[in-house]
Amino acid sequence: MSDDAADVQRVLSGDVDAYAKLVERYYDRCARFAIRMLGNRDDAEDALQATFLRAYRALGRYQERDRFSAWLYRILVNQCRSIAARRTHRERVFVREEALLLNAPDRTPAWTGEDEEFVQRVLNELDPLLREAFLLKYVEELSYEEMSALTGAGVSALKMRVKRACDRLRERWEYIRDD
Amino acid sequence: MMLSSVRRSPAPVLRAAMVAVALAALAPLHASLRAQETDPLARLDPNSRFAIELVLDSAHALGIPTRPLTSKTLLGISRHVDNRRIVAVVRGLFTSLKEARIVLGPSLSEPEWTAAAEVLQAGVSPGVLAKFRQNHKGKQQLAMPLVVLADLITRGVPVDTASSAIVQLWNRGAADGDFYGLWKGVEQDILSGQNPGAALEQRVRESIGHIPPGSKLSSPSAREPDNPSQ
Amino acid sequence: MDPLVQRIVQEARRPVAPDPAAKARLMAAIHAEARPRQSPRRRRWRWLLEPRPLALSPLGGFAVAAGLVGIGIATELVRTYRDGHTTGEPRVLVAAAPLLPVHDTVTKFVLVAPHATRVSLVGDFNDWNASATPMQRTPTGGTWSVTVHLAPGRHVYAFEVAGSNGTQWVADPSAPLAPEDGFGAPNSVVLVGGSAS
Repeated sequence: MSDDAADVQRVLSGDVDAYAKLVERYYDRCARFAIRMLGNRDDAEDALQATFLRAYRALGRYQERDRFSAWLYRILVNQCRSIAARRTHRERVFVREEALLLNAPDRTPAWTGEDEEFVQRVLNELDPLLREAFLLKYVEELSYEEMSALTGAGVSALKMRVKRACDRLRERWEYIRDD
Repeated sequence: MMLSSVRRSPAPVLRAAMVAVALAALAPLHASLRAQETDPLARLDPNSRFAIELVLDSAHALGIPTRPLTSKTLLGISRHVDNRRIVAVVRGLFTSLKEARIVLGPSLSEPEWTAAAEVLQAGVSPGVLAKFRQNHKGKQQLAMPLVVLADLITRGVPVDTASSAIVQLWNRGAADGDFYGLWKGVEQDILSGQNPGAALEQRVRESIGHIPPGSKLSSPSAREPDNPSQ
Repeated sequence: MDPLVQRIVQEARRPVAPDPAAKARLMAAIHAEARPRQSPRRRRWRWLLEPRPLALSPLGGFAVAAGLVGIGIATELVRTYRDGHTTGEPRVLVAAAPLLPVHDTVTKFVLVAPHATRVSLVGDFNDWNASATPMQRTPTGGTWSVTVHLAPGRHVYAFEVAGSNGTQWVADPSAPLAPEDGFGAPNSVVLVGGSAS
């Protein structure tokens, strides 16, 4: 039995602290996905809170044949989708306020390779489905089969989304570089 | 002043409000629940509504009353406040409610609880609020002194002056009527042009003359008159 | 992979530092979930039906003895706000919380506003809805009043006064003020009692 499955069993037997172990194991990684996906910490925190609470409540339905992380990620991806969908159109281009303060409005930030704000902004400009596929493939490093099980989309559709995401990111980078 | 606990079914007027609050609290758990005409949160934009529902969800999970949070939301809606501001204010109130419980302990009644949260929001520090935990033996309600404290600060009495005055009276066993009388007097003084801080200090001096130190008018147990309730 | 995209991936893979308080809040919420469970339905509604300890109204001891309805009338020709500005509108208010011998929590709100065309009571007991509790003008014309059943406890409220200048949100000049509500509106507090002591 994996560590995850063992901890799930403990939680179901009433050991709440065993859930804390699962949280410890996955929170930071989920946080990274949520922040990259949603573009700001407030929404990410909402998504994380909702994800781990719902996972806790639904623990009885987790089947050991699934990998716990995949099961958890399915909840996380859906939470992020709900939050993104609820945003008004006006807010779809999420610009972090700190980034605005740091960068003069008439100057595009120079790429330093270490500029998290820049990467986040560029990711934010992707269509949410493309961004999600890109993050799952390259940041979470899932296989296409795992992504398919998680998102419900077919493998070829996912490959297409990842390719289009890369094309868009490259276009955006070249556009900025040519300024 | 004696207090009694009453178990009664909610009056019809209140029941509608309670249903609305319950619906708001349950909404995140029933994803298929559609916005109903009676659901006032439906007037929020979806993003803000979701954020508020998460706060209510968290509050309920932590055993924190959701009624003040819903009420604050509805106040903002009826004042046509920008939805994002409503979310920020409600989150702030939630934080204050959590803090109030940490400071004053779990046996707070709801009126005391919301009064304490508002006192924190008025600028009183948690350390000062904690002083009310002493001598809070459950018999005497904190609601009145905290309501009076928040009022005095809102009327311009400096936070420190107001806090130390009310704490002083609390420690001396002042009862609801004493706090109310103090408030009424200071209010009149401020309206007739006196400096709020000075007016309060004067009234407190007068009050203390009437209240023996360490007396607990509402407590059935006898206390030594010369035993300070510090 | 394209080198430009590779750099984005590298950056995106960097761990983020989540707010440690957020994790703590999450675990607190989990522990709260884990408390001994009643049936979910009962658990959700329990907090609505819990008896609330009562607080006596601002009337305190005086009203008990005298069976007073009002706390006295404060006549103020000028109301001074915290920022120093004043209004000249004559306004008198009595916030009354009669202590009836039965478990009743009837509260009467009165506002003198002779130039108003409409006055509503708004508060946490009616979802701040100005159409929920309109006040009635007395025959003499200058006074508006309404009687409401309030649950015992602490309530926040105000008056919405419509006149020739438009609509104003007004606190009760004779009641304690609630702290600034975050929305710029002044509100008042009433503590409602139940049985006589």
